[in-house]
Amino acid sequence: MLKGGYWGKILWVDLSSKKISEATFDEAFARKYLGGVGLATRIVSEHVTRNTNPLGPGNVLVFATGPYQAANIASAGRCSCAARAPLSGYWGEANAGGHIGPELKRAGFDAVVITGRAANPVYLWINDGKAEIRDASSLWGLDAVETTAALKESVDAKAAVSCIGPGGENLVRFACIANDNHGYFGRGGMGAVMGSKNLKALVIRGTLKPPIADEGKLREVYKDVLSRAKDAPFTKDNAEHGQASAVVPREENGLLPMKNFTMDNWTEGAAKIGAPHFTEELQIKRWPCPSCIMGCHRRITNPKYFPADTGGPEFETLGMIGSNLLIDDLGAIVRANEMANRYTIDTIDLGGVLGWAFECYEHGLITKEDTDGIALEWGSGDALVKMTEKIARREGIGNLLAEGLRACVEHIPGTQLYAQESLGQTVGAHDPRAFWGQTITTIASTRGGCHLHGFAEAFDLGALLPEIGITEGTDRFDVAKKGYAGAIYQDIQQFWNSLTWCFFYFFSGVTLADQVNMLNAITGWDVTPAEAQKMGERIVCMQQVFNLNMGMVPEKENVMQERFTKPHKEGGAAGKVPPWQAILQEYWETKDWTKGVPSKAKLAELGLDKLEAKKALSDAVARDYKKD
Amino acid sequence: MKVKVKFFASLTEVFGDREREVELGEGARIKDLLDALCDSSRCRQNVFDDSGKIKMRIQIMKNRMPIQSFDGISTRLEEGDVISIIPPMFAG
Repeated sequence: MLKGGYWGKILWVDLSSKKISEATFDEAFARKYLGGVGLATRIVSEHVTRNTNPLGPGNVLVFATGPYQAANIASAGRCSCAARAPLSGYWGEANAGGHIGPELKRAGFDAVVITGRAANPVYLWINDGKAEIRDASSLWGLDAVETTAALKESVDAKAAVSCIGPGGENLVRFACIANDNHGYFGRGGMGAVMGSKNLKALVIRGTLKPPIADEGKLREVYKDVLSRAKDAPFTKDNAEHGQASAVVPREENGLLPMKNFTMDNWTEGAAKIGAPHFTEELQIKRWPCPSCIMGCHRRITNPKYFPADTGGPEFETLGMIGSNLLIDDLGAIVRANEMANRYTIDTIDLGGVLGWAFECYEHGLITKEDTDGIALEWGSGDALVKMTEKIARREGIGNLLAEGLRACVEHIPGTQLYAQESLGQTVGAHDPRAFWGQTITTIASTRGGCHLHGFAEAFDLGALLPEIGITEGTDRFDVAKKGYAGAIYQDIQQFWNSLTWCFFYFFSGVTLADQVNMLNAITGWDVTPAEAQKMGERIVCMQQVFNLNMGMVPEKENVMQERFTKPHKEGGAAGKVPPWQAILQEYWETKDWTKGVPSKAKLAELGLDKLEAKKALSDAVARDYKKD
Repeated sequence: MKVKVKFFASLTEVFGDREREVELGEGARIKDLLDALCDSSRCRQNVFDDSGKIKMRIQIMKNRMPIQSFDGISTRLEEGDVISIIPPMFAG
């Protein structure tokens, strides 16, 4: 019996038949898959086959909360979203802040699963145990800010609104989903999945009180956790400057992408786009997720930069559409960020495809004839803004870029060097040459290129997990234990994304033991840190099996991008290249995977006996869904 | 000899400077510089661990090159060197 943290209810919406139903689950199911991305992995794995077109009605789009959304605690303003990714054809997942998670839980559901395709644009209204499919024809074509405003006005001013703009409608393969204008399900193209289903928005309002197993114990544990987190230096720095505080230091230590990861210093540029200039010039205010004490999302208040109705640029955005393109014009970055947020396209992949395009332009492989006269020159804020519009609208060359990096390289063969991707998804603004702990998430993330699918950079930086035996990190340029850390931090990150929890609190001193203690108070369980890691390991393993069944060949895909195999000559990572083969081998051994394929013994240990890892027999990759 | 030290992010507040010139004896090494800089318990806590070792999470560059490319904390300093000291940054 579920004592707390869950309703045990999943809302199931088939947009083709307009049928709305509920599925239920019990405590054993909850303790196995936890919630959030774990629950979503279970559902997507069951319902998606290799023949499922990611942009077809057969794909399932899951929005899932975890047990933390039942509690009104800082860090719990999160939600997971998953589907087969249209960008890669493989596992697709995003985790975001905003009101959707807590609101969905208060509305009486742990998750909502959307299948099929509506005949006309619709939105889904979820309110206190009920759901309704409503017409959204008048909203189609509006951007995310306009859509959110219209729905709050016509439905419920206090509702959480998660929606897509033209990027999602136009099926840009890296379209995101906007949560209340400042949280974004950014990666993998979840917004395109929504668009393919003619689903403009989810509007959610809940006033129910989710069950908590031991409210007194939760308050006792949380009081201690909160007092430590409040005083942590990271909390204060994140509140004041947000993620922009990392730009200047990371230019110095070599992590920041510069000129599509080819340059090793850009000191003056970094100072123009990073904190403290960023904070002062934009007159930044905090924009917190529900209950958050940090408020790392940024609200721009300097009228000079209006319209600025969405979350201001964060580190990944400043890196990928700023330094990565050598653009030091903060106004252009703010403008492009605002457009991307309104149109709902992911700023990391936006920076990735533009990095490829700018480099092609430099080498004469793309000319003004291809771009309708736009000069894709490094440092051009004008090109950034114009190309953002073209991609969202799929106009001209924007139609190619909207297909993602692999399609770009197919279009201009021989340009793989310019495409910093894994499984077709752009890597984040974290050069793995500067922190070798980032190797695994760069080359072997189940969702493709990513900086957060196991943020083992934390291992290099001494943010450790003593509860499960990680009591010491290794130097950022020391290969020792980098594969091991890549595996364990990946497990823990998926545990976090299943709680679901904001991992920034880990850097404010909230330990794995704290997280488990809160989980147990909410659910009435007796989970240990070791079990928490095992939960995460199970989720990652399921995603790997999903990818194998979609046709992934790990030996072919889990390869370091060529650019990262050559060292910088100068800068904070000069002369350094991670020995990625050794790190990958240690990662696979830690996972008990043979060349990326989980062993039968491992599947049995994780309670996944019924899953079968079908290693692809040919070089066919998952993008063959196009032939369906 | 004189070397220039650049502090980043939260260390600017800890050390009360963005940049500082430091006078050291001939033959001084990185660890001597850090000892000279850490003249308060707060500064020491941000740079050294409980056993007196430099915290691994601190990144140090000499003339924009990681000290791991030289002799680590035993890297020798010369007149005019620029040393950067960066605390752990967790943005993602």
